[in-house]
Amino acid sequence: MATVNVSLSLSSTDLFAKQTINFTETDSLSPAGDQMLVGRLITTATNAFDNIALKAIDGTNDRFYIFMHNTSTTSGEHVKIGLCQTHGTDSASGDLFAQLAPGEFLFMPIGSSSPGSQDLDIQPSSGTPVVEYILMEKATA
Amino acid sequence: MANGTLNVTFSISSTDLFNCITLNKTVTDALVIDGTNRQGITTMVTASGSYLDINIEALAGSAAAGKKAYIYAKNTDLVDDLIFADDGDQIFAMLSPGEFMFYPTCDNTKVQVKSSANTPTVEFLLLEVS
Repeated sequence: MATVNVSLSLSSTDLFAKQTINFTETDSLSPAGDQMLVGRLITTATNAFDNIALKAIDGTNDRFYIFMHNTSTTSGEHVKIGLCQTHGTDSASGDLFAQLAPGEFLFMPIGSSSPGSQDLDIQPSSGTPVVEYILMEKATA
Repeated sequence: MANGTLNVTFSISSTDLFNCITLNKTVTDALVIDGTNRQGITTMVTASGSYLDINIEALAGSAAAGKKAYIYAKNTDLVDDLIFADDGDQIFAMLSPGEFMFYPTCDNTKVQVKSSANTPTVEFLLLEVS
């Protein structure tokens, strides 16, 4: 089983008058699914959906780790991230849960017992921003 | 309320996830926080029945897809999972014990959490964008 090390550091001196933010979290992950992807995707078109998984995420509750980075530097090129309940279908309006502005990233353990999370899709609000991602399925079916 | 800046750095590495490549990536960003709802580091005991909101007031910003906020959350428990759902009770994330996440939520007025069992503690930070 592979080991993936992740760390997240957050800091700020001006968000709060009486609380300074400064901490680092680390974790050692052991993804054991049958789908591990490193991808770079030039999105298709404004408001078009692009799926990122090669096949349906499976395992209990369709769980996977996702790191995603909107590499665009053009103002307004946001990308919306939606949960695809079934692989090969687009997300619906209620499936949208995140958006990345140019330069932003996310890291999340995705999973859903209801309605399912067999894939994610990316929908740019403008242009064709490039999104890089690492998808690691947690377990096999 | 004056704007604030949240500096974020994320690193991911692995020598054995793939045979042909080694993963070693670090990204950084300086995020401008200009929303009206800033919630510093908070801990909350969850339960397996009803969802609990982690946001004090409804997320209401209009940036891009709207209702945007940066969220850090960690499952500090050693046994039970945390389950995160949107404002339609649709589950989108599950944190095993010790796992964390960082992401910009959008398009939802709230983010909810409950446990898979028992009463694990969630640690979180929520910073709204206008």
